[in-house]
Amino acid sequence: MAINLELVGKKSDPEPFKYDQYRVILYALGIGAEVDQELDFVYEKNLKVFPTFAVIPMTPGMGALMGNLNLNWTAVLHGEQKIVLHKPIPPAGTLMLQGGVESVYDKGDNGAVVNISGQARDESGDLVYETAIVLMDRAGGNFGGDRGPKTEKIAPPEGQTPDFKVDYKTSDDQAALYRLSGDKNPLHVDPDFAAMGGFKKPILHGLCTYGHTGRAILHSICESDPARFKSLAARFTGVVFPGDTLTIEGWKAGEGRYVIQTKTQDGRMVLGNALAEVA
Amino acid sequence: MGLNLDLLGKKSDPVPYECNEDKLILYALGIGAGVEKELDFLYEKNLKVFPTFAVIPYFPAVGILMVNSGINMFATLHGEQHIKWFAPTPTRGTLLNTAVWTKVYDKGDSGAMLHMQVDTTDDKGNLIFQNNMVAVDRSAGNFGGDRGPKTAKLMPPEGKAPDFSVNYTTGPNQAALYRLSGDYNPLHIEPEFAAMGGFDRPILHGLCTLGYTGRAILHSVCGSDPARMKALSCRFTGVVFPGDTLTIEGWQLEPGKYTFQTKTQDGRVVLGNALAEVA
Repeated sequence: MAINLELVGKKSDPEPFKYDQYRVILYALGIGAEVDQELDFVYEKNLKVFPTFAVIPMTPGMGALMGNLNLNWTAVLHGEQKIVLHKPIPPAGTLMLQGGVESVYDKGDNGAVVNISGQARDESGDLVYETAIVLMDRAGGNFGGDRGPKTEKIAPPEGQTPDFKVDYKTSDDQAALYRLSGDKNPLHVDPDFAAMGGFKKPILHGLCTYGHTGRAILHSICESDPARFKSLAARFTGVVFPGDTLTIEGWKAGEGRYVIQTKTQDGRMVLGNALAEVA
Repeated sequence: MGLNLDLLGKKSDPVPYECNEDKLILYALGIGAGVEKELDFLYEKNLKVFPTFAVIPYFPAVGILMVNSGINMFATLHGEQHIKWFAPTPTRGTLLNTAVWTKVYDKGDSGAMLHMQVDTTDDKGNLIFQNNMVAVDRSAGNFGGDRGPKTAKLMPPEGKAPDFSVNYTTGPNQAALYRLSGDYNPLHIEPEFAAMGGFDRPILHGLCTLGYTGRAILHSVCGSDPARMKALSCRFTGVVFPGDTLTIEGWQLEPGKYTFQTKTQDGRVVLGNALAEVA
């Protein structure tokens, strides 16, 4: 079945996403926040919200839009994720969410690239954050479409030590906890399912690695103040297993701009081509 | 304000609790279950329920009754917990919790000892489990009431090696995670609040220690089959801090009956005077 190109340019209707402080705390624990060092992120009194929480809210309309794309879901990879924060995410409340299909590009034998956008507004109608997701449908290429632009390569400056470096050890149960925030794909908990995907055991959610990365950025260059975190764009480049240690490094690349990469303990880059903007 | 003794013996309106797989999994993680060995308790496919989950749906009902009883919450200690199981816990649906203040004893200068019982049924009225809780309000003694019976002492047989012994190390985040199951007392997360209570730092929930203890019993003498756990009662005898290692030991008294105790790494008994009945 071919990708439904008629959805390009279409948006889901704005729909509410209601959440409470415990949902925010559950997410914080899911991305490894520690009560000893990060109490404000795991306790409802004066609760701060990790900016990467932006990837959690979904609505039925957004889900339907994605479902109607007719992607070959067993061949789909989450390629890239970007979030742009316009104001801090409230610790509880209702966000009005809208999603849209921006473009579908034909990468030939490499598949199809699907660009999906999202916007979240607060109860007063102010834009809180925007998201951009790149999905790679490895079985969806060669449909006669536009190849699309080449993405810009973002790499750390060669031979330069990073301006910050943080190690976070994920736990063996990290994926089991993270999935309670909403992504129930059995790939992250079921050994048999993971084996069907060619993995020796269940893998961590890419967005959980993304959350750990955002945490490191927030604490290293935003003094743990979510209001100073402006954006994070990153490409997923490798698999992480629960229990792995993540090393997040950042290099300053201009005022308020940092090139980011995240590696596992064996030196493999698992998140890269990444840029963070902070105030 | 004194105790509101008029409430004695009066059944509360049923307090509903909505059960679902996510709540059961969150509880399992809260009592330290791990995916490597206990996947069935952490994954919604073929989900098994830890029997001690019984203390979660019961909690709001007993909380309301405690407030209405007129006790001074700041002077009140959770003394004992007794649980009986009658039918398997459903993984989804409404549980109805009816609370009654059954007894109060006047322990003079030691305070008032309150016994409260909560029956939990499914929405068809079938009894699933029953909790009996004993709390002591240290400020409410000398009200001219009956002193009550002495409780039976239940000790491990002297000089006899336990029939099972299990070590579980709790995580530094254990209380932060456990509290998401519904007991949001700041004593378990806020350093300043814990200091007011005379503790160096926030303490683990007694019912979390009970959960670890129940897990050890389930895996050691019930073949990990929740249906085989019939009754469990214990006294809370000491404080546990997140990060402590718990050692749970059990001694068979007769077929299907075990006495057990839980110690921290420094040898203090934190849960004792305990009896488990298994099938």
